[in-house]
Amino acid sequence: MSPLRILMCCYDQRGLGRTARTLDIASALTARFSDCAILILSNLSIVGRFRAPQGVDVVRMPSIGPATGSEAGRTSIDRERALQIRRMLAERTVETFKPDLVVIDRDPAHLPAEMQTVLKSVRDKLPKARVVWALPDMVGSPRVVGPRWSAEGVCQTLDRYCDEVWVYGVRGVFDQAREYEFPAGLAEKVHYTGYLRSPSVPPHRVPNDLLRAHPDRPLVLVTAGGGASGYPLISNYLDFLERVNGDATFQSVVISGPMMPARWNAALAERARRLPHVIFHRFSKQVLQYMRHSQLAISRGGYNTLCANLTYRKPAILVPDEEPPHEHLVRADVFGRLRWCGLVRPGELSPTSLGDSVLSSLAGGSDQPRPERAERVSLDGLDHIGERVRKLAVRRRPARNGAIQNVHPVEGDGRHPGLEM
Amino acid sequence: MTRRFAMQGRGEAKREREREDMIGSGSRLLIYSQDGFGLGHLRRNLNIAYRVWRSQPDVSVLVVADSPAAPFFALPPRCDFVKIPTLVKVDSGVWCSDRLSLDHREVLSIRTRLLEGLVESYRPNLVLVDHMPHGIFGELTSSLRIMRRRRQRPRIMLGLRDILGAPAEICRRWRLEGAYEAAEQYYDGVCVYGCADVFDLVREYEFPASIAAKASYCGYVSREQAPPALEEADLARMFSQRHDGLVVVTGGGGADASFFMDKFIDAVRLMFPRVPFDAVLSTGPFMHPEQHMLLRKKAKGLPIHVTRQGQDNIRMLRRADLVISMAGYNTISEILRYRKRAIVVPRSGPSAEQTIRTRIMGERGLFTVVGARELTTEGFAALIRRKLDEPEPGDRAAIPDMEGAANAAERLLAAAG
Repeated sequence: MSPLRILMCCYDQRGLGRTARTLDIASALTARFSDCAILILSNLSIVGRFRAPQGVDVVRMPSIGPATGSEAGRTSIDRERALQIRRMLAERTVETFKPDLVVIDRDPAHLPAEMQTVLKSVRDKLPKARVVWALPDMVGSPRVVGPRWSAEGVCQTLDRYCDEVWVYGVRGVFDQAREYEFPAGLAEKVHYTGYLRSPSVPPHRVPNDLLRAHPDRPLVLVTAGGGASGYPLISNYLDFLERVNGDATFQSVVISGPMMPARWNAALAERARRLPHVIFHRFSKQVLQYMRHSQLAISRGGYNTLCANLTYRKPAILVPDEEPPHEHLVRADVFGRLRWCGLVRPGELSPTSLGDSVLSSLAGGSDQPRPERAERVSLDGLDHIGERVRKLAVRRRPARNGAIQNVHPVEGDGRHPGLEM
Repeated sequence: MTRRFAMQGRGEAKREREREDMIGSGSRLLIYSQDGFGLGHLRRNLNIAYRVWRSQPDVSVLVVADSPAAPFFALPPRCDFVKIPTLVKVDSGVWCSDRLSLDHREVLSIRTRLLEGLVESYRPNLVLVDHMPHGIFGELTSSLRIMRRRRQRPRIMLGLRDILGAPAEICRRWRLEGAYEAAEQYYDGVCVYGCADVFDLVREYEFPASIAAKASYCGYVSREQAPPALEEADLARMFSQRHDGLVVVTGGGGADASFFMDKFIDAVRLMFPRVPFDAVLSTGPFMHPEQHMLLRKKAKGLPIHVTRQGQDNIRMLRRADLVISMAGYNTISEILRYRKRAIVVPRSGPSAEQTIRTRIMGERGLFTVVGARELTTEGFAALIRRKLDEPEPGDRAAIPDMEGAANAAERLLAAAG
């Protein structure tokens, strides 16, 4: 029998989060379904830095914005042509790979015509294929997302083309269907999978440079995701260290991100080099190892980093930016309100405010936000995704004799796994 | 009425496309770089793309790669890439899909459709195909036909590295697969990234006159925009206590480099504690993680820094007093260009490319060649000591032309007109 074919489309706009988590999900699916071929369609320029697991290959589309990793504003190939190429790649991948299941991880707003064509071609040419739209726990502020989605007819598009919508979160934490006012038909299709547990890291795998550092000092990890807009966070953090002027009792690992423009990165790296007890990387495959050995993790509140915070139960300070639709800010707000992590608001970011948060978190008073409070939040997203895949695609596939096993997905009790508050 | 209007619209669009194809500035170069098992072709093509940008900054370049690590190197300005599903060469003429659990024929049909689509949607006016005139299993043939049918036919160039493999084997394969016909029929020119006096590719591979007439030797393509050598401060971070010499051990992508790296560590252990150098051992992105960990463990306590960072190889190499490496095209180019003392351990298969390259260059005295099977711990240790005492290779006459990237870029742009 031909293997189960899954096409996973991930479109990263400024970061690398969607592609990174798609690879993690693909990895979990190949482990669960032995006979499974997954093709990932990604626009991430540095996708080659991630190791695709066995059973998974990648098709990479050209960028449509400025070339990443180079100077801002410089384009590689012209936008119209790049869009045409992307549409072609998506269409022909669908046509030739013939997926049983298509999972799309992309912001459903500002959907280019390209994407609609692809969805339509899946529906027309592969009537048996199931289509899923995947969303992180929250997309942005309901005040922004609601109007934008209704103006663009996002809910109608999702409803028309998708069999299910997966939210990689927990309804008790953030009820997307209600917050973004999904019409009843679409709300029916939503499955809350729970958060995605980060891959486990063996405790003895300590990054080399950390081994050479001072094991007695607590470790503060500062990450900026892809790094495209991480400059303010890291600059303020280094500013704080410069003011403490060598008197810090902790050590820091700072990871600026591979998409930070080279000039900014160089400036930050140079400042970090002059400071004692600071390890600086632009990109590290060992982020999770650092996370595991840290006492405090500071980030911009990206979805994947937050999952790592929850997985390793690390006290965290989220420093979201103000970029609409405020995904990071809403996440930081929700988690801050639940007292799962600390928060420095965009307008309040300064070396002093950040430094105060760091110092009080490390001092660890009883009033400090604690990730342990989130212990009942489901991190079983990967299992639930596997279960959905089984119900949607595996059981529907033609049996060996060619007869269709017409099994409808059964609604189990685990439909809204997660928070029991 | 409506229908006529639509027809008119189509005609207009076609004329528009043709006008566009004729515009000289803003030319589009498409590079096909097949590389399932490593990074060598991709690196060479990006070096050429960089040179194209240097002479014609308004040319945009789209590289079609299939290396799982693509693009790995920084892309030059005005250059982007598309990655297609990977096929890996298992043996001469035998391929399989890399990670996807699909039959190679199916992966091939996906690739073929995507390649055709790229030719149609990118509409290049200049095409550079790396080392396989019609791609793996002829996957490029349909795309080449599409381009030939276009009214504004793009210029199509074939790029061949200095040595492809043993002449008998290459001739047999090219004949069997119809590569000669493809080179004859579809190509406007052939760039050889080597020198006739090192290896006369045209004669060795029995090119018929029709292909020989459009072939030219460009010289060796080596690293463009190479960052400066590592500084003492960088080395101080790697080694607790610095010795005088620096030995750099590199195996390109690293997929099959663990054998001689293992031997190297044995040799250093034999010299220990009187090791007159520090060593950086760069395992490469394709070495299996387990093997990487084993080497790292094995090197504990010795003045050897084991790293995976392939991107920094050139900085280390520029600093090295001695390079120990395999004999891939790019590494050899870098050794020659920076005039480094080197011990070279050629890969024995599946193709004879590396053994031929090292035999010819070894005879010229450009570096010392050791067969992987001849490596004994004692012999290796003695050879390393001896090489470190040798003067640096300085004989300019023996070193072939290293301006391959600039020459190839010039040739390409001249073909585009």
